[in-house]
Amino acid sequence: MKEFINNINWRPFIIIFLSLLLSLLIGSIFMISSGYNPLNVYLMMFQGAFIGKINIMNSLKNATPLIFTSMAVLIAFRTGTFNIGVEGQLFMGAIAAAWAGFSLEGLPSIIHIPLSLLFAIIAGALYAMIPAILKFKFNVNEIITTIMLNSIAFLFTSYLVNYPLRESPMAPQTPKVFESARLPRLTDSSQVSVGIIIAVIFAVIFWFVFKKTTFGFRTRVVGEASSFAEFSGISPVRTAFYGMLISGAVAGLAGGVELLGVHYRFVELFPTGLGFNGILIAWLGKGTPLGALFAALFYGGIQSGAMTVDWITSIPRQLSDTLLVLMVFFIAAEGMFDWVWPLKKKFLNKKDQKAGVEKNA
Amino acid sequence: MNKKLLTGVAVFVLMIIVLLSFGQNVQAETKKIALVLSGDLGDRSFLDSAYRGLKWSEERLDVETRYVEPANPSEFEPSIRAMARAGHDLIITLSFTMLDATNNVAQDYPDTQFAIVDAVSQEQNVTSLMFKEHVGSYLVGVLAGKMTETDKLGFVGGMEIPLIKRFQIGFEEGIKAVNPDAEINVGYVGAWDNPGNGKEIAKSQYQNGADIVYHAAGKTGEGVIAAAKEEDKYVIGVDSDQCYIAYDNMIASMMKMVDIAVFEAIQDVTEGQLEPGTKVFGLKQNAVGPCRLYSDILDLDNHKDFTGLDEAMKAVEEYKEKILNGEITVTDPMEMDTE
Repeated sequence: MKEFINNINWRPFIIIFLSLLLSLLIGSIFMISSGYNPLNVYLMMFQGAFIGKINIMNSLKNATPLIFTSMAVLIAFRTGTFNIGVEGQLFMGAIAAAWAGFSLEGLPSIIHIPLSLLFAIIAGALYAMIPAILKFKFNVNEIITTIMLNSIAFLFTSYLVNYPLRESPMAPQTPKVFESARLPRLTDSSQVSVGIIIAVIFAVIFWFVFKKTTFGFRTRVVGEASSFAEFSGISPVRTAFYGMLISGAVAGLAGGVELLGVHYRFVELFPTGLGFNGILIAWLGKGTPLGALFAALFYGGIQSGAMTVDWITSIPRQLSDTLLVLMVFFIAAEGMFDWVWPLKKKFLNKKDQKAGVEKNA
Repeated sequence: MNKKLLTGVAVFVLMIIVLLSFGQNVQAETKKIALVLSGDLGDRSFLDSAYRGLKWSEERLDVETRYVEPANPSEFEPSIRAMARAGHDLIITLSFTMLDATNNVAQDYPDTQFAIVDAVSQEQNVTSLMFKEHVGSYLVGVLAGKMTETDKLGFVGGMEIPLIKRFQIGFEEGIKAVNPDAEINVGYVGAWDNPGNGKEIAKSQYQNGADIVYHAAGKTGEGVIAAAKEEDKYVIGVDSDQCYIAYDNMIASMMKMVDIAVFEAIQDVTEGQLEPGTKVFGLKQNAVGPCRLYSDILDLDNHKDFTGLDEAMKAVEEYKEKILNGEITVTDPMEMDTE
């Protein structure tokens, strides 16, 4: 038993504990100086995130797109590229799914939903192909191109909903997708759809592929040591190229699920930040699919918690969002806690020396 | 004998209980009101105006109020739903971006009353609060047409939707009425919360010779006001009385009294008679037009006396009368579109 406990790697747990503690402490300073009781607020936030059916459902709804976007970021990262363009690919996927949803009439759900999602996947993959070709044919840095392509996607979708795909002159938005294209909802009282189930299954498959298959091994080799990969006959360029495409496809799927599950139509002010938060969550999950899955569930939960704090107190929304950001910041900035380990060693060494001295005497 | 006394006491006690509970019922009439905003407070324009109406109702009526600032559009529906679930008697939402969410929740809570500003809903339990922005903008157009020296003016809109077209077309028609030769430069930003782009567009309009720019862009308009300060030109504010933001540059604000509309909707609910359908607020209801028309309810002491402004206001009064007695009809792009 003692050996078992000694063998566990406590480091990540201690880091998460320390960072949560520090973020709560610093958040408390903000709240006390604004005249609120931090204990109450944190309790409310926790309840709003993980206690009660509706709160849990809202947390899952928030987590759904984040699971997909963090996977998209991971796929690209594991094969050796940075896809900062998840946001733009998500927008393209969402509007493609919207188009398929409202213009293909009379299909049964069993065909209409997969078809619309396929449109989203293709749109995302095609949009990721632009930076992929630019990188591997012309050696253009993909970070710059994907960031730029994000802005282009925002403006292009805005053009589409303002002019060709506009439902009525009253508002810049597409028509609603047909009932047959909507993802079934899990409950009546929240917007969470079967999308969350697809997302979790997807994350597990992704974990399996990376961990257990030769394809996964290849990509890992490319991502972690591309010169060794070349030496052993794996083409890093090809793997990275397809990695980028798959990453874009998953980002498009994120947009499709979000549109067909939650919004039912593309509006000019489609929620932004899902793609960028995906990058954040991929890092929070320490670059592993299962880590990212839990990070997404945690992040979606805290978002829901911040929302409920806004519902039941007069605390400004900016303040509860600050608490959320603080938590993420401290968990991500784990390097800050590196000083804990040498300290421990020093402490142990001193003790040993002391013990040694005592023995000698 | 004893039995009779007992019955008598029992009846008496029962009556008191009934009376007390009756009294409590009357006391429990405090209505619960929720306002779900379409963005963060602090735009010093549209959203702050709605919030002001809510605050008034808390001060003057027997109501309990709450407001919610959703972080992004995906939180609209959960937030409205949470307010309905919490048993609010009236839930007020803002702008067409919240129309879908409002309708969805209204269908699920048929006994709850809803009100939406700036969008028309067909639901039985949703009251639409609409303004005649084109008429108010016509009057600030008259004012601007009189005040301009370069005969060049600018307009900056938040989003290119019929609602904002109303501001633009009213403004243009008002200018043309008093100054047929004037040139009007129109720009749209595509966002309510992007002061940076608002400033860029306004700056280019000023640099092309415009000396007055009118904005209808919520928080984006803050950029327009900043541009006016930098270029030292005139600017016209919108929705709330914004003149205090730029004392030396803002010649007027086009008042759109969302606060009054919100307050009146709440008042109607406390009196138990908020009708579904559309309530329109125009000149007759004293709800639109340049701020100087409303010296009775606004504090205008801290507004600068620009040269020529009094004269321009005379023209505004004149055109206001003409609109009220039907001599002039301002084009309404929203009605054109629904036809």
